Amino acid sequence: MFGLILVDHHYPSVLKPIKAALFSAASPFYKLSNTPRDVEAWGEAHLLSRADLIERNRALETEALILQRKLQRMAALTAENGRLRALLNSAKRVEQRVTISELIGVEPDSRSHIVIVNRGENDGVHVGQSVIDASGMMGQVVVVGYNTAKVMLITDQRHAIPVQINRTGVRAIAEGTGDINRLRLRHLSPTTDIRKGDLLVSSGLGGRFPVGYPVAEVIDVEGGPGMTFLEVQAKPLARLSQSRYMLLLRDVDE
Amino acid sequence: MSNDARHYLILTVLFMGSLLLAVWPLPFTWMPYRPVFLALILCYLVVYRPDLINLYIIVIAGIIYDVFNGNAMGQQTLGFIVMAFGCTMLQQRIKMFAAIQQAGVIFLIVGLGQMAVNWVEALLYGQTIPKVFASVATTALLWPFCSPVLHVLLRRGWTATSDE
Repeated sequence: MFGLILVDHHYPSVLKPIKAALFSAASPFYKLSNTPRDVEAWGEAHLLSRADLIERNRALETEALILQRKLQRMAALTAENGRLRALLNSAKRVEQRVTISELIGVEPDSRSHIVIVNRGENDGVHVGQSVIDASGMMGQVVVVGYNTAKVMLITDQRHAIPVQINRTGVRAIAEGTGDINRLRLRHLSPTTDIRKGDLLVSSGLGGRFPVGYPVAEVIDVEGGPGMTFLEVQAKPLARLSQSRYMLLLRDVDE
Repeated sequence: MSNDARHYLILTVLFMGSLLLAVWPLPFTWMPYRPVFLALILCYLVVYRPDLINLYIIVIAGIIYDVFNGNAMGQQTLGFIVMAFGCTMLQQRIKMFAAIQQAGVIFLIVGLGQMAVNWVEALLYGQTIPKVFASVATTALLWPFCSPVLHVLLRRGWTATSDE
C-alpha cells in the first residue's frame, strides 16, 4: 500500500491511465450528484410566468444591443492593434477559440479547489488548458478523463498564476490561498506601485495562461518601505463558486 | 438468486450509494463534517458479516474512493485497512456492546484510520486535513442508525423461502 502511495505521488505518469479510466468511471456519480442543481436550473428555466419571460427577453435584447455596439468598436480596435503591432514588428498574438463546458461536480475534498466539467479527451481537452468564465480567469485543466476533466481553480493552495498589474505593467505571481475569495501576491518589493482597486490581468509568462485576461482585483496592500515584501491580497474576478458554465480556451492552430 | 448473490448485489448498491454520498455537493463549510459512509459499511461487514468481505474488496473500494476524492492512490485505502484491522481485533467485543458503546468504539477505530490518512497527507504534502475528527465524529454518530438498517439488509438467511 505504501508502495502504491509513493509510486502515485512520485511517478504520477505510471498510474495515469488507470486513474484516468477510474476518473471517467466516476463521472456518472458526479453527474448524478449534480441532480439537485440540475432540477433547480430546470425550474428556473421552465417555471416562469409569461410576464417574467417577456421582461427577461426585453432585458436580454437591450443587453445584446449594447454588446453589439461594443463589438463594432472592438473589431476596429483589434484591426488597429494588429496594424500597430505589425509596425512594431512584434509577434502576432495567437487567437483563442473556446469550448463551452458545464460544471458537473465539485471535488469533495475541502482542501482543494477543484471542479469537474463535462468535457474531456473526446472533446479535445488537454491538461494545462486555461479555463475562464464570463468575468475572468478561473483556472486550468489538471486531469482529463474521456468525457470529463478536473479544473483546478486559481484559488487552490497549490496554484499560482503569472499576472501583471494592468495600470503599471508590473509583473507578479498570484498564488491561491485556499480561500475561494482570496489570492495573494508574493515577493513584491515595498516600493512597487500597487494600489487597492488595481486590476490584475494574466501576463502570459510561463506559457500556460494566455495574456490579457482579467484575473483579480487588488483589495488590500499592507507594508511599505522598511518591510521586506508587500503583503498584497486580491479578489478573483471570476465567479469561482457560482459559475455553472465555463469556457475552455484553446489556440486556433491546435 | 442465492442469499450470497443477493447480499453481494445489495453490497454493490450500498457501495455505489456511499460513493455517491462521498461526492454529493455540500456547502464549503460543511465539507469537513461529511461522514465516511464507506468506512461505516466496511466496519459493519468486518464485525457482522466477515464472510462477505476480504482484503481485496477493501483495497479496491479504497482505491475507487481515493480516485473519487482526488487523494493519492492508496491513501484512504490505507485508512480502510487500519479500520478493518481494528474491527477484526475487536470484533467479538463490539458485537456484545450496546449501539451507543459500539458508536464509541467505531469512533476510535475510524479515528485511527483517518489518522493514518492524515499522516500520509502530512508526509506527502506537508499539510494536514482540516478538522479531521469532525468527519470521524459524524461517522460514529451515524453508526447507531445505520447498523440496524444494515442488519435488515444483510441478515443471514434473509428469506425463509430461499431457493438455495
